[in-house]
Order: sequence, then C-alpha cells, then structure tokens
Amino acid sequence: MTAESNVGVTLESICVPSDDIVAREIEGDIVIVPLVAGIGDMDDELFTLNETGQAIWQRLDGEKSLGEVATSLAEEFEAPLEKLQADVLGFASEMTRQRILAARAGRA
Amino acid sequence: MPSSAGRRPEGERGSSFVSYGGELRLSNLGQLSMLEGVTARGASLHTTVRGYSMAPFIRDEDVVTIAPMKGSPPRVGDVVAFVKAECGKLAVHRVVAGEGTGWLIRGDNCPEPDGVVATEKIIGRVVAVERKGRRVRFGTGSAGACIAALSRRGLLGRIHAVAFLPRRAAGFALRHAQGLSVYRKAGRRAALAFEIAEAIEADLEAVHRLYNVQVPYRRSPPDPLVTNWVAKVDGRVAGFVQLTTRPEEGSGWGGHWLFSLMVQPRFRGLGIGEALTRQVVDRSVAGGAPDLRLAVFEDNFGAIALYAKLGFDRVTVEVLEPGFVREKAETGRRRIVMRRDLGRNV
Repeated sequence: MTAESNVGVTLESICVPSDDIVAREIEGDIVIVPLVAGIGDMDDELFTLNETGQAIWQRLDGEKSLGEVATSLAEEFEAPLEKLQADVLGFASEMTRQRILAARAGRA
Repeated sequence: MPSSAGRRPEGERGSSFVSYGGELRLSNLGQLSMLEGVTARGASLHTTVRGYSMAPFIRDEDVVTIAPMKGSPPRVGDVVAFVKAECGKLAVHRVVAGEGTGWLIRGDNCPEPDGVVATEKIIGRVVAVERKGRRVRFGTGSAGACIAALSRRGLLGRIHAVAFLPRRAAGFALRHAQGLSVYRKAGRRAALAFEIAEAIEADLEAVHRLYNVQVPYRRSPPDPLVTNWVAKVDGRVAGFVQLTTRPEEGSGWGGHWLFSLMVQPRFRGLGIGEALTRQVVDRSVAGGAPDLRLAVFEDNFGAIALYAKLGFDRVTVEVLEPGFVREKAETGRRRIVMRRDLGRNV
C-alpha cells in the first residue's frame, strides 16, 4: 500500500484510539470492542491486533505523528524505514476507516 | 441487537493487522477485563456465557447483555455479573437476598450460594438473554424475585425435578409404545416418511453429534472400503449405518461387515433400522459378497431380533473371541457376531 492511497492519513497525522471503542490488553493481546449505540458487542465484533498492529498501537500516545511512530519502530526492529512507513500508514488508514482510530492533522 | 454494518467491509477481512470476529474466544478473565472496560464507559456488553450454573434460565452459550449498574444497587432477583471472591473470576448469578451491606448471590442451578458479595464487586446487571438469536425470559422483576425466594430456601433444584417430570414420563411412555405392534403399524401407516441416502460430510457431522461415535469423517479422505448411509426424516438425520469391506487379513474383521446401526430413539419402531440393514445387505449382494457379518451386544435383544428376522444367525469367529472376552471384563458387556449367508433371500 502506498502513502498516496491512504486518503486522510499522512505521516504527519496523529492518531488516537476512538471514543467509540474499548481496548484492553488481555493475555498479551490488544483486544478491541467497538461501542455501537452504547453496547459493546463482544459476541460479534471483537478485534485483536497482530504483532505489527500491536507494536504500532502501543506507540500511538497522542503525541507522536505516524511518521515518528514509523521511525521509532524502524530503530527498534532495525527494519527499513520505508517499509515501516507503509505499514504504519496502512494500519492507520484501515483503523480510521473502521473508526477504531481517530486521526487529527499533525503539527504544522 | 444493534447493527454495525459498514464497520467491517468485506474487503478488510484479509487485513494484515487485525483479526476480526466473534470466533475469538476470550478467557473468563479476558471477559471480565473487557466487561470492566465497557461498563466503566457507561456502555453495556453483549457476550456469550458458558456453563450450566444458571440453568434452566440461562444456558451454556446463551448471549447476555450486561448493563452497568450506574450507581443503583441491585435488587433481589436480579441476575448480576460479579467477581467471585475466592478466585477473582467473573460469574453471572442471581441476587437472592440482601445481607448487611452486601448481597447473597447464588446460581439458579448451584447447590450452594456464592456467598455475600459487596456492592462494589457487582459490575453489571443482565438485562437481556438471547438463545439462538431469540430473546428468552430469564426471570426479571417479580418473577426474578420469586426465583430468588425459592433459590434462597434451596427449593429450586426440586422445582426443576418436577418441571422435567412430564418430559421423563413422556419418554418412558414413548419407549413402551415403540415396543407395541400397534404403534409400529400406525407409524408405518402414517408414513412418517424417511429416506435413506449415502451420507455426505454434513450428515456424518450430524451423526457424530447425535451419537458421538467414531465416524472417520474428518482429517481423512473418504475411505473406499467404507460406505455410510443415513436415514432422514424431514431432512434431519434419524438413523445411521456403515458397511466396511476390508480385505481378509486374519484380524477377523475382513470381508463385509455392518457397523454402527443406530436409530434416534424417537424414530424407533417405524422400520428405519430394518430399512438401513436391508440397504447394507443389498449393497453387499450387489458387490458379490458371499456373506455379511455384524457384531452386536448380546443384551441388545431388540437389535438381535431385527437381525434374526432379516436372516442373520449367531456365529463364532474364533479370532475375535479373546477381544470380546476382554471387552466384557472391562465394560461388563459382551458382543457376539451374527452372519447372513447372502446366497439366501429373506
């Protein structure tokens, strides 16, 4: 996935968990339940993040931009920055589309 | 149930970051953690409960909606989600009495109460129960208070026994009626239509569920030496039989054997067992088999009578005898072999 295809989310964006979800770390997994009309439907609508998703999620502190998240992952995992930027943008774009993450424009 | 269509577009299912779906089963402590998270936000949680401690009002695999307490104390009769003091686990049981500042809680199907639970350990109140997609009553309001009163006095178990009595009596009557020729004749005249067909995988799963027999339908390709048939009434499995045609290699089980003839209890007496047996006989004849054998428990008089009627006689297969003797020592039941010469017409 390329940066251009992720409409609405850029490396400058800052993403935070949406108010419409509850996320808990359960037995080593990040488990997410969306709240729809005041009900969390654990029977039908449960999400868990994979390792990459989890690593990104844990760095979304409301301060770092997506670009900074990618840089921090690249340093920690000694992986190519370009690949991680694509991963982070892909993740953020998917999660914002699903209203699990809320994005806001980053610092100018 | 609120719809959240649109949140999960089809194309996203193959995501490389997220697993979707209710098939993810959280542990009890996982459920507890999520329930605490959701109720802390003032929202309700829709989740599957497991176990039988609230039967018959809430059953294993029912889906409950747990609403936050929002500061209002529980009432006697409410079904509540709380943390069990002795193990820290989540439980969903009924408030049967107020005790000082806490609440005496007990599962409707439990021999003993859980003990007194402090108000702050009660996380939420069950406000709805669904079973197979349908809302069911689980005792709320005055009904809940009545159930609680009975439960508190330890009377609920006895009520269950009385409630199930008619079903037991009906089953007893049916079993006896099935033995009467008038029932058989009426049943056949009423033509409770059944059909016999070679079993497909879905049928074998149903058979497995009904009888818990070892039918090799999973993780192995179809065995060319085994043929399975099912009898169906209104499309539902009512009976099963298996033909195996192993080569004669000295084990005693070579040749044509009929195995696992079974008919669902409520469909007995209608000729299904006979039709299934004849199916196996016909296939064996068509396959040029000289004879057909089967093993049956020597105390299964109904089956033995059926097989005798269809031309099977008791025989001894020496090589199998030690196994049968050992089986009797271990289980108390002995099998015998019956054989039909396929040169004869019955």
